[in-house]
Amino acid sequence: MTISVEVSAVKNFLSQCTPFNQLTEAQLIAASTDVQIAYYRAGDTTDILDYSSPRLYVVRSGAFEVRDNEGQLLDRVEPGGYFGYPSLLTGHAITNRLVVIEDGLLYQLDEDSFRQLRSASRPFDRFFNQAHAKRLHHAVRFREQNYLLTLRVSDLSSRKAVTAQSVETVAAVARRMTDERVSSVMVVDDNNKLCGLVTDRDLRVRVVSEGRNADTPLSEVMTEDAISVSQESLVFESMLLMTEHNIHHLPVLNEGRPVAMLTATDLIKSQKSDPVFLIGEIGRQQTVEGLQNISRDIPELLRSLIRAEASADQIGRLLTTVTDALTRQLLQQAIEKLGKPPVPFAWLAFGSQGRQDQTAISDQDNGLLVSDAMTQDDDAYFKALATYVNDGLDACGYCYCPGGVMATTDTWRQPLVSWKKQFLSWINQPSSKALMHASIFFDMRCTYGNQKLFHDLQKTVCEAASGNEIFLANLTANALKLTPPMGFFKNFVIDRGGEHKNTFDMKLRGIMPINDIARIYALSVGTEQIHTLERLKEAVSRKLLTLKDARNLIDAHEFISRLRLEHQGERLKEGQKPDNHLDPSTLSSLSRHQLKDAFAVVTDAQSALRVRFTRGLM
Amino acid sequence: MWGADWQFRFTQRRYLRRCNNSVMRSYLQSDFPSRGTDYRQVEYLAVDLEMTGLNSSSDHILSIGFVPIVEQKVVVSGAKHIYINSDQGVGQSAVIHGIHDRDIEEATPLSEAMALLLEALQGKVLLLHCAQLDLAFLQQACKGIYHSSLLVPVVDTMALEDQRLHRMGLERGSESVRLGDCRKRYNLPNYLAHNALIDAVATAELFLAQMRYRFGTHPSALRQILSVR
Repeated sequence: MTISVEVSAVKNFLSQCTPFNQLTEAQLIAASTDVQIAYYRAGDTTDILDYSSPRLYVVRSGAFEVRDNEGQLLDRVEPGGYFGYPSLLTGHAITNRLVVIEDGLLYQLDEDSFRQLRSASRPFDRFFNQAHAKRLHHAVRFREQNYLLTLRVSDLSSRKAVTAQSVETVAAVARRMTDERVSSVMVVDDNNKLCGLVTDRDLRVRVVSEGRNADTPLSEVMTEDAISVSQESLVFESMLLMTEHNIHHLPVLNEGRPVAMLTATDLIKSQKSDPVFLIGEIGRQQTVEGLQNISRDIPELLRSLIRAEASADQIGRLLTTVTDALTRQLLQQAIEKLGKPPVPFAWLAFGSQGRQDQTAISDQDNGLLVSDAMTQDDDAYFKALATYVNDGLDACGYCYCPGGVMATTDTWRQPLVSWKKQFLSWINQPSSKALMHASIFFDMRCTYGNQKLFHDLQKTVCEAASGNEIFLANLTANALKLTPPMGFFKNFVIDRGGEHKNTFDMKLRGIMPINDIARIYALSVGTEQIHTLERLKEAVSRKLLTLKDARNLIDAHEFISRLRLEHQGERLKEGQKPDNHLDPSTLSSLSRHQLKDAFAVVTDAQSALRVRFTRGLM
Repeated sequence: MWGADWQFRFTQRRYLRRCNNSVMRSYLQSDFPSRGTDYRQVEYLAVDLEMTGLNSSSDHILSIGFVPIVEQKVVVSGAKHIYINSDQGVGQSAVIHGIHDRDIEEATPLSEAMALLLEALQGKVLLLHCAQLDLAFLQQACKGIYHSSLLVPVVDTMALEDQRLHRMGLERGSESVRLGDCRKRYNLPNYLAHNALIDAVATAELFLAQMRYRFGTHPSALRQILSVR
């Protein structure tokens, strides 16, 4: 061709975007030819959306936010993302506003082109209808019992496809199945498309029992026209298919080509990660080994909660509920073994379990509060009880606390009077050094046993702490030692070397400072709230914080926690140990912006804390 | 080249009197925007040429790519990429442009290519990155085919970038004004491929970005950005 009208830069970009990648070559060329390109600068708002003629906008570069007419954020759009389609679909007037977060190019398609593409391509039409429905449901919050229904086949971690050609012999394929430890292979043709399925059962029924040779080609024994699913199908649909046809293997296809094998075991596993199921199972276990087996599913629970877009707050509460259930079951097993406790006691959870914001990595932080009626001899019983539970938790993946904050440690297994003495010494004779490691104790919750004992202790702590200026000033001085990792030029400050090079610790530098702020406000007025978000809300009702500041902190806490959870989910998926170390260069530019905003909120709140509680004392 | 609108129109009429080629005549008869027009209401044609070398009298054009800008949007449907037929082979420059002799063999004669370009350029401002070089080749082509110079208002994105850097207090030459480097400063994507049409689109996008940075959403007269020589 000597004269070409095809702009490859535009076409190539669109061809990478769903649903444009589903168009035929001719449709794609037509679509890319109709594109108009505009450029906007960060901060632009006024003149982007053409209110007189709705269009489909495709983000080519930069970052954009869609907000409704009240300024509520509806969607954040990055390269390859879309907006403008709701008005095109419904014919309703455009009411949303657009904010440019980062300089960028927008591709625009007018109403005619959009309509033509929708009528020419079913996948294109379906994509935008679904996207529209999703946007409408944006405000609907996650419901825990429902997420299995929305899970897609591609979300389940099933093994990579093991394939074979139909001319291969039964013997060769049986060997490969043994090597790969799979119970089925997918037979593919020369174009790598699925043409049959061979399972363990086929080898037994159609080869061995019919007395066929080991060099029989697969084509003679395979099941042709095997039932399969696309990787976009819902797990729910696959379950129905398996039940309906009484089969245990479902090839997962992408455009006719095998990408994975979904087995009945995968589906059972996916159900196991349902928290309701998990907690029910925990309650039935009579041995530590039983609990240990169940706790292996906790990482999968975390991953499925992340996929289901649960909020970090919800995930923290759910994971803590599981830990609480495990602890309770271990205590019951111990009591079964050791006999009834001689005097009442309360099992205390500290730190993240106390605050109900546990993640994939949680050490144990616990203690035992015993009634003052205990005698010297009773301690042997409680020591045995503590040992059973601490060992059991360690076996279930909650490592022993490196600082020894566990009920097995004598200091943290005491009668009420000694616990009170301990807290009062922290509060009334504070030194920032002694308080440095004590802050987790002020996030305490009773997970089992005598609530009255616990409330007695909590009341003493709250009364002593509230309004105690010297104590609060010391606590604040400690809290201000941990600052967000932001440099003078609004850049991220990262570790320059060592094991965690180029990363920063999201927990230490982002989440802990917010927890500290919430704790200090709570203690200053002696409230019994433990959960960070509840403490912040309480601080608003006590007029310590403005509603706006509290909301900003809550959002920042949620955002950083969410990033941390996603990071941990990624690591779990790759079979690595989850940690808190994030490399900011792996974030999208939009996330980087938002993270900086979140850190700025923390820095402001720390300044406010300094002014209120240290008053020049420190 | 033209200090005021009346001078431009005067030259336009003078060229028209002397010209008997129908393509050039209809080009010269089109209405070009006056210097006081808001730059956002002006239509532009971003053009890029691939040549066998840098000397307009001994080297020749291999391909022309262009794309219009209307209402400050790049209109992809108006884009064209034309390979030029020429007697000489492509030689060494194939390495640079990825154009091979076989592309050229089935290619369009220069006169036809120029006719397409002039048709698209009617009433528009010519937008080039490093205008001097490409303009010399276009002038050479017009002289050869129409025995006439090319009369056209020009905006040079390289000159605009030079001005901007200078205004920011940077010494001339201290920062690269190559197309790709300029684009980076505006967070524009990096195109890996390299041909006349992609570079024309790249120039057009750079221009939109420069205008946003310089004028925001405010109006400004075309004369503020026209290249003066």
